[in-house]
Amino acid sequence: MKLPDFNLPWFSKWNKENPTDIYGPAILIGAGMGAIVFAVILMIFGKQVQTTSIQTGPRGAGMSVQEFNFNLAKGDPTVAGYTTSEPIIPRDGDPTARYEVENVEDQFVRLTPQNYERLFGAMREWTGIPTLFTGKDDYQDKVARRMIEMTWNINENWEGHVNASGNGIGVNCYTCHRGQPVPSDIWFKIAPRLEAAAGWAAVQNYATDQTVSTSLPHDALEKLLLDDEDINVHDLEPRVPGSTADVDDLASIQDTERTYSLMNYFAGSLGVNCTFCHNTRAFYDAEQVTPQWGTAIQGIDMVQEMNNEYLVPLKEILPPNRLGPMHGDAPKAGCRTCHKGHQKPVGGLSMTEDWPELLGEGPPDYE
Amino acid sequence: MAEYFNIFNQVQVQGPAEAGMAGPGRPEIDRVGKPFFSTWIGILGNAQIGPIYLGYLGVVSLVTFFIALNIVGLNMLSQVGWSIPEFLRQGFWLALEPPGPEHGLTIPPLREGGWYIIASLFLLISVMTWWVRTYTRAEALGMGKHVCWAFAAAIFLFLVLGLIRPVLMGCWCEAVPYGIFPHLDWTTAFSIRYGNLYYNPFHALSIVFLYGSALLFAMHGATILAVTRLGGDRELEQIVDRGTATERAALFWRWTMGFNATMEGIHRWAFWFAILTPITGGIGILLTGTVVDNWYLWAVEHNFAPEHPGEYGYEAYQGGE
Repeated sequence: MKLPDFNLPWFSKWNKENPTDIYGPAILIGAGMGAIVFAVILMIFGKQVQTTSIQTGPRGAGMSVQEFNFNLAKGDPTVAGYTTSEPIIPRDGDPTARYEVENVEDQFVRLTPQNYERLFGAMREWTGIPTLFTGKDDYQDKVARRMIEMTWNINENWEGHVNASGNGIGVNCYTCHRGQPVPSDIWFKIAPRLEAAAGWAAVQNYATDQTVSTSLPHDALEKLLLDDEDINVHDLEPRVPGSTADVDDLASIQDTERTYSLMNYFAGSLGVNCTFCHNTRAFYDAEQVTPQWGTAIQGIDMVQEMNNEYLVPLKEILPPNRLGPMHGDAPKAGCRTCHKGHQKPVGGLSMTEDWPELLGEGPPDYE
Repeated sequence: MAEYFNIFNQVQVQGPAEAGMAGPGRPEIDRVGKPFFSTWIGILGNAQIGPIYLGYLGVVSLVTFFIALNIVGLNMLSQVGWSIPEFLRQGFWLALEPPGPEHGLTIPPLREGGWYIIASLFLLISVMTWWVRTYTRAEALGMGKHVCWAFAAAIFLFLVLGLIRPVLMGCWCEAVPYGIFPHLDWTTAFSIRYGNLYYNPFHALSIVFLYGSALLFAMHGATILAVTRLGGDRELEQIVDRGTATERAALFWRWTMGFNATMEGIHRWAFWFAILTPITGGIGILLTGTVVDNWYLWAVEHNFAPEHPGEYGYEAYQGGE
């Protein structure tokens, strides 16, 4: 091909005398760039990798939560395994289980025998323990009795979290157990995970499940969902006196990383990102949060109560193989235990509309 | 298609190795290593590898650097029970962590941050001796000291992050951990803790200079390669005796964006953009936590935080587009 002639005879001469392979590198670079362009087109138009986004806040705040379409289509596979049946509404004068059922459980003596059998059959399916409450009175029965009290407590006193929409959602055994005797996504204390270091250095810089594979502190669940340490780290004024060495007054960078670790756990547990709850330019500002933030705040308090009042005391009853591998501690719950990676547990199904027996300790209201 | 593309060097110089100039004080005796040639490196630039000037400061710098590196690496290894496979697996996550906030500015036990202080001290000596080296090597070659002053800008940021600011904050805990992911988590935690660094005006300036440096380097590199066929790469010659290469390069930019630099001036542009990046950034870091504790609220106070009117929560945006 003829070059545009810009009157450099020495160049043209040199060019003719030094033929050089430029096609080799050109093809290499072209192939590389072409692959990148193809990948970008695939991302934008390809069905396999398309995403759906929901806007979660005002324009300009970048508040948007994305999910791959194939993940959305897949949904939660345990939803299909949920078994339920409608209550048999008792009439006046119907006998109660107290007199009709052998080895009746104290917590449900006032139920009719039909509803009693219905409920207990369901509990056996939900927990995957067919021998539950069949008269063995082993540790599983003891644990189950306490967990029924926990379920009543959650449904009665924590409506702000488990029934935030007001559609009567609530929880039952299936919410955590999903048909398994030991629920998935329970957590144990794992700090300190590192040897040879002490203090803050020993509880971070190691990829773990609880930190969603980040190198953030892995004592976040222990300190913030079990102990009641401060999650807040921001200063609420532009200038605040003091040094971060005053550990009681100001949060340090280490405290901030622990809070960030908890927030990563929240996001992973619900399958969302930070903007589901926050305007990320000012994480701390309660005037720039979504309603879901309020629901989550209640969730924190609820989980702390669940762990401290109900689950940790179970350590005395549980056999050693059900306790934590590092500290022998009782299994504890977190967001992921119920939500299992989805915004609404069990696909948002109501866990209590068929089960007024689980709404509270008092007599069930069959409407 | 033009036959001559200046993407890779088509002509490599691999003659007898250059040993460098002689000078006062006979610096040539301290240049060690038999030079060799690498064809692959030659495709990008000068094919000669070596010799390197050692000298007292160089030895001190190298030795202290390797001590610091080993303190960091061996601490990481000890944290995973001296298991090499686990070290390789967790490598990007491991770190040598600074002392916790409870220690303030005291020297803590080794396992609780003492090793960090020691490693930092060796690294400081290593960097400072290397800095003096950039001065003395320029002196030996009869050059201006610009490289030394440019490096000083980077060292300013390094000192701010690891020494000056932690001292001003009264706590070693504010320093940056030595680890791949952990030092990146530090940047996020720093921004979260101090109210969103995007609202720090010096951080914004530093970004301007960073993006500007990247832009300028791409522009200048491309421009010179584009005029190599006209001798543009002989920049010193072009500076004192402007040739067609410089004229075409200048006209290209004048026609593209309305103004241009000169063959000398472009290097001054690049120099200042580059050194202002760590200088303004260092100032921004220095002001954080000392003078301002929440940059977003500082922005609100100074009336430049934008309003975001609108509903919060996805329920408000369903059923829309």
